[in-house]
Amino acid sequence: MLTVITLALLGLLWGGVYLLMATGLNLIYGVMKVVNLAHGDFIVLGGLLAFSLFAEAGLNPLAAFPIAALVLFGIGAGVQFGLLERITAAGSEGELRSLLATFGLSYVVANASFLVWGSQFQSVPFLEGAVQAGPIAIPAGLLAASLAAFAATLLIHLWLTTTITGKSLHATAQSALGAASCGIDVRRVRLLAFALGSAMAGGAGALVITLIPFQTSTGGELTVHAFTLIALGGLGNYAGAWLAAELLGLTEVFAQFYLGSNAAAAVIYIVFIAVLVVRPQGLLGQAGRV
Amino acid sequence: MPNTAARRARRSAVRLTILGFLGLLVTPAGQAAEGPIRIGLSITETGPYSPPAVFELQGYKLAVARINAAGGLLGRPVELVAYDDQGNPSTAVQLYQKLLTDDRVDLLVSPYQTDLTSAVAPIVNRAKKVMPSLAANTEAFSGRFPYLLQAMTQTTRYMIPVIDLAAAKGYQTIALLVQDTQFPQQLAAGVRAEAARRGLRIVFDETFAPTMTDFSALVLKAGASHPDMIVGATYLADSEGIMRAAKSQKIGAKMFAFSIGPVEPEFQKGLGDTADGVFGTTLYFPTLKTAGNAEFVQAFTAMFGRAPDYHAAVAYASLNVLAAAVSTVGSLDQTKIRDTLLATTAPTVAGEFHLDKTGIQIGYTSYALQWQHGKQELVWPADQQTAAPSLPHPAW
Amino acid sequence: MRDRLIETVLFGALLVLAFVIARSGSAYLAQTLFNAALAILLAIGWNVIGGFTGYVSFGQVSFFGLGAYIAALATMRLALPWPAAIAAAALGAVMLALPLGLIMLRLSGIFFALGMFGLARILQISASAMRVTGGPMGMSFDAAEDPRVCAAVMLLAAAAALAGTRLMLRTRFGLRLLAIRDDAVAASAAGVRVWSVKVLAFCLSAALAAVGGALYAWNLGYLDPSSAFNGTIELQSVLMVTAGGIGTVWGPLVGGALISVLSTLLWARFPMEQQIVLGALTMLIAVAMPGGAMAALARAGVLRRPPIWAPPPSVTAEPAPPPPAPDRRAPVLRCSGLGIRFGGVVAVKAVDLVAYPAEMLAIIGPNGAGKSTLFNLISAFARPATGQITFDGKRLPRLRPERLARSGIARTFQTSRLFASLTVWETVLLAALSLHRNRRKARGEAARILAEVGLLAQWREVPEALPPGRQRLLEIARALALRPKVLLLDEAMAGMSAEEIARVHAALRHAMAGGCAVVAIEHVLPAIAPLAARVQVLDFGATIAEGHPHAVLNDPAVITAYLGVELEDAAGAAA
Repeated sequence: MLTVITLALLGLLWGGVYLLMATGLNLIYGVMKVVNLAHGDFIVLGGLLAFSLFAEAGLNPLAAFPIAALVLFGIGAGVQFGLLERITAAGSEGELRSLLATFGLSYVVANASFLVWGSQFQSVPFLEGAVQAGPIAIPAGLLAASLAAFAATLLIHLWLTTTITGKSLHATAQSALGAASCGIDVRRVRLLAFALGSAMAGGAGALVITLIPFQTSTGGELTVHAFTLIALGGLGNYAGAWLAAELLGLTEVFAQFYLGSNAAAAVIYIVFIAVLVVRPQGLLGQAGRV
Repeated sequence: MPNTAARRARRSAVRLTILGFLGLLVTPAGQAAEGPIRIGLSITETGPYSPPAVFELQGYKLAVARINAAGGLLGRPVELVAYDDQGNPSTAVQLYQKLLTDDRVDLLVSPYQTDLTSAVAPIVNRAKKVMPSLAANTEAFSGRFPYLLQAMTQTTRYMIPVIDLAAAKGYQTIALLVQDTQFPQQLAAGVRAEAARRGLRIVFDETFAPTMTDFSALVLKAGASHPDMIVGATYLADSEGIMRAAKSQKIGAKMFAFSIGPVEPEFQKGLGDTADGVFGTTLYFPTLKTAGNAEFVQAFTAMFGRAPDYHAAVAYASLNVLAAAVSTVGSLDQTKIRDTLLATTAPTVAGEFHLDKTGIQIGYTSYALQWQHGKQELVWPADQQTAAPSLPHPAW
Repeated sequence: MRDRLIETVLFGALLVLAFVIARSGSAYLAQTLFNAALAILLAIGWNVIGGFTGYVSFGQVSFFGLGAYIAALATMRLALPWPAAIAAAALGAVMLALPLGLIMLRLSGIFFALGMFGLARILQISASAMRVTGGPMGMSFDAAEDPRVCAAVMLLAAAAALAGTRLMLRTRFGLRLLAIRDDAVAASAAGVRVWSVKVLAFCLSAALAAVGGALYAWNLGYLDPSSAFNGTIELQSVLMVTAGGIGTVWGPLVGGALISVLSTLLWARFPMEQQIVLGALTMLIAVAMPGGAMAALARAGVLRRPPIWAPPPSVTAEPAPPPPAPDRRAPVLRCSGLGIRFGGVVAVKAVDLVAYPAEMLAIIGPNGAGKSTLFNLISAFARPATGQITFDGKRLPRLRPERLARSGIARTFQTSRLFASLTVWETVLLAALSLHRNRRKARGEAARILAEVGLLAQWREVPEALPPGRQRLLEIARALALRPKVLLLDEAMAGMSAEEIARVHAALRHAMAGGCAVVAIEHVLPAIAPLAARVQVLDFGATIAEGHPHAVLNDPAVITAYLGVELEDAAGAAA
């Protein structure tokens, strides 16, 4: 019983970490209908920045968090302005082209990071201990990252629903044309969304590198993981992503424990494909019209 | 006979010209018999797997420099023909084809990594060229490719000193965590065999996918078997992940040991204090009292501005052993060189080079190291130690 | 003619190269060409699903790995000779692709792409877990004796794949493929069996990748999971195809050549920056030249895709006499109580509709009245929540739109849906082919209809080059080519000139004379009033009036609905 509770707790906390890595991607998709295939590389970049700040300046990851977020905000804004905004095609052609563009971007980011940091796995020692809750030892770093994820999701939600800028983002997400006709500067909104989504990737990286060692080539794996999650939740749906993250975390931990670690890796992809096939719009997504 | 050879050479020269016109290839002209002895290889000079491979290349380079400084081989200077394979097996195959058929090198040494070695093994063997191989797995040497000789400690022997130390301390039980890829799998097989031989019991044995990042459930499960030792057949990232999960969930053992992971400096950078007390294995250590090691460390540091690691040492050793065999034979007859290598016992910087009759390395061993106060110390076997092992691992 | 020459030269070069390799002495050159030809073969395979079918995949390497393993195991365990092993690999890949395609092709865009990526991972994990594949250690087996023979075979395979795709695009299958890529909905409205065509293309792509994998195994004599399912192979295919020109025959070859040369040059000078430059190049292609190199060539008029079965035959004899007119009293289409809701909105509620042969029923109503939704229900693009449809005296079972289109209910769309890359001729031919298996008949029929609507002179134009009115006309022609018993026109005459309207009228009269029932949605009645026998008015998803055009237009409820006064009353009256 204690094992089951411990596993459930671990699953929920890892779910939080996965959510942290996926929220930025979700925001970008929600507003722009673009899947940023360089998202994982942005996370790794944020993480490696935090690593350097720790190794060179002794800065702990909490202090590195805003710095990494800020740097990636700038990079994200640059990418949106210089790259994605210039893809004018609409519909499936536009989707294909933005996929290709971010696919190329992913290679550029990963290999540029490789020139700077080399290929070795890097990680930052931070909050490695446990928080004792009765008989259960809760990993402290995991707890912190998870709480940050929930806070970020909540903040995004509040921001989108209560502030003017947030509302204009929300409006653009629902209908770019409609938003434009209400006088919203859609280009600015998209710039903000992409930059913000990238900043969240950078910030997430700074925290996650304390839990998972990063290598410059880790990014692709992270992108797929993050995408799996938001696709499961229903693209652009924040509550859905949260639900999917917890589900993935729990599935992974329980599958590891009861089916074996090797099976767990396959289970995730099987769940992903199964959900897509049975419910292509995701867990909480709405079915599109024909 | 020579007439035929000359005609063949001329004919192929004509072909090469035609192909050159096709704009497909620029090939250096054939080698004069009395030019330098050319030693060919491909190495992962660039790309994610390059850092250890660059150490190997530097080991080879140093060996060549020292052979030349000592008057060359068979009275001829030695030259290294090295290409970059970027860690890609089919590129490596392509490059070894080039080395064999276009460059017509006199000798071959091996690329970095087992899978590249396995990939080039068939063509190298078909060309009947001796290749001392820096591949730790034994698959390629079990008679399939008689011209491949193992120039590195075989995988199954990596963890022997760790098991030996544990047995000396009277530990009984092992939880074994194995990454599901080629090298760790074979390594684990070695651990199982050695543990059985020394009377230790494996109480937990599980493989995990190489992409795994969340080790909490695995380590929890391993801890539930209350082992004396938690042993990982791993690489760097997984060994860190396992240590993180163990500490943050307060799962203790008397000894934590990993194959690859603690040997890298990044292990300590990434884990901080958590790295202290953890055991790792290495095939070489700069303080080793092996033949010519002090000199090697000094020369390497002078030439490349950094201390050699084990990749550099085994590469250096393998090229030296090959050169020694060539001297003994007195010619470049590949079969004779192979037979000489199969029969010799040569002291090197990496230990004693000694092969069994199928070409598997049975001379080289491995060493246990431990992180103590943020530093790597060689702790086992006792006659080579820089510090005494600190055991048991303190409770979290 | 010039294209013929270029193509012949390119093919000739490949074949000569294969021959030279097989006879030449350099194994290294052979290996280099083997790798290049393998990359091109894989790119061609990727292009079939990613380019021609429009399903970008990040996991075609699944079939590469599968083919490699099947071939290796077939030679090791079953002692099959290599040619048989390669065939077995292709067969095995198709056997996986067939059921998989039925599932995966339901996904679209990024979902399909990443779903395939997941598949590659699952296969890789399986290969590591199985004993028969040698697990993560991989396995070695007897490789080809001579790398030169290998390279020659590989070059021939690549050339064959290239010739195959070139040939494919000149068949009805290729035509359907392009139509589906451009607009799957419109393709099914033209009677194309979208599903089977897609699955077939998927299988073809899988088989090509598997052949590549099998040859790779044959060449190497060694296989392990991480190199068999290596993502770099995928990247290479994507890059080559996009650089060369996605969805073109020669794109993979041109892109393959460009990328190989470029990466070799970069590798020599800037080995560390090579990947960055290739990544940047991908971005550049996506932003600045989405058509790749082939688009530039096409603009220069070189290696354009020639229209299929062109030019149209001359329309000489009068068309075959229309089928005997059926009983005009028996309705050909009868809908009763059709209804559907989206979320909380009732789009169509309990609508009855009757259409008689050789007669036009006009459906009018203000914006949002549910007219187009009603058409979607009738033409099976949406499933009604309530009600039933009787067609030709029989109750209509649940069918795919293309089945319906083939059995006699054709439609046009409110915003015209044409195929961006098909010519006028091909667009109509596509629909005619849904009806006639015979090539000569289909061509004759397509030409006749084009002549009838006055588009024959413009047969080689793509839709983009036509004025909007002509585009509408083309859509009507496409529907007419299905020889429908019921023709559903959704605002087909919006934006047409008087001359074009006259042409449509003539064509519709002709169709009705042959017994076709026309149901036409129009916003403005005058466009069809001369033809319509009856008018039905919809508002808020329900019928508010029905009858002779003149009577209906004077109906107070209709006037209210159009002028928008006393909305509640109107809605109440309608219910």
